[in-house]
Amino acid sequence: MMRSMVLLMVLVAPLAAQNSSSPVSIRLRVADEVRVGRQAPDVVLPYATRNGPGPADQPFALRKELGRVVVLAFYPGDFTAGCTAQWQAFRDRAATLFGPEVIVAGISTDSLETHVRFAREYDLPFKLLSDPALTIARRYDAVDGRRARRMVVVIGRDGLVRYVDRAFAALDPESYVHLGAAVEAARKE
Amino acid sequence: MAAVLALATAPLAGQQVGSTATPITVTDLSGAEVRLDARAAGKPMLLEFWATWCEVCEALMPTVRAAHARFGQQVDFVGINVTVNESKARVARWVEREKPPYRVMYDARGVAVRAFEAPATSYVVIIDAGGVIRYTGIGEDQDLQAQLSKVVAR
Repeated sequence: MMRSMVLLMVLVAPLAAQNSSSPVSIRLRVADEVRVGRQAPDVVLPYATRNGPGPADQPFALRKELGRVVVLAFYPGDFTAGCTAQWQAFRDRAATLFGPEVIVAGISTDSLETHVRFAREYDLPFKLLSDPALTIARRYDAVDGRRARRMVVVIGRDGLVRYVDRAFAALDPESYVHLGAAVEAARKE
Repeated sequence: MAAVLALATAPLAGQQVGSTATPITVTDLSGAEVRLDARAAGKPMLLEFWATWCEVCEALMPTVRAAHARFGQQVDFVGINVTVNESKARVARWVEREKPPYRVMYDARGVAVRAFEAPATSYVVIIDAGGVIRYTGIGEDQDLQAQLSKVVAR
């Protein structure tokens, strides 16, 4: 608990100095760093596909995808029941949910080797990024314990966040409906 | 600081063990609305969130069947198909073939998934006759009979 308190104090200290009267608003401001209309924090991570690990010297870099709509999907782990359902749904509905021009990237703490096995097992046509230290997940406030929280972010061609679902529910059909609508809106901009 | 910690570490809102289950209305495969309310029915209820593609659910099925064989008269068994990566026709074929030991719901709008914040298929929720959630579990190794014994004995 003490370690958590210290960590949190470090986290909120700069903001606390600006707004010491409302601890709740401090927490919300930290969580709201990634939100619609703001520049998406850059992502640079090694990735794997069903064909194998990507080139070590050419990691996935969000800034290189400017001009394309990007969907970042943080998720707890390969081969877990909820994540498998989510990625199978993404695979089966890729044409209508995303479209051919959209980059879809999954982010979890799994290794590249696990990502390759997962992508091959379920024939996933996506890049799966490895974030074992949760570096990017923290930047997006997508951490739940030692894993990434299930969360999707749609980023427009201009690099601005267009949509955030901080509690994407893998088994909820409505989650996919909302995501699809957000991607379509971003594609039309 | 205490307020900050509480907010930062609080679990996501949801129906936890010991809380009262929210009565919901879902639809079955015929499209008919079905009210799921253990308290109103005065009978314990077992919910399983499942899908035809769920291998864990398949592995769990013998356990569910055994539990139903023992407690089916005293407990309402309900299977909530999560409808993600499914079609109603496929589910209907599966039900015809497998004859699962529960009433099958087709949760096309995610009503039950949201109400119980089902994190994955094979998720089981047991509600006692008073409408209180007494057990939640996931995976193929769930001792459902032991859990049902507790709610039936109450």
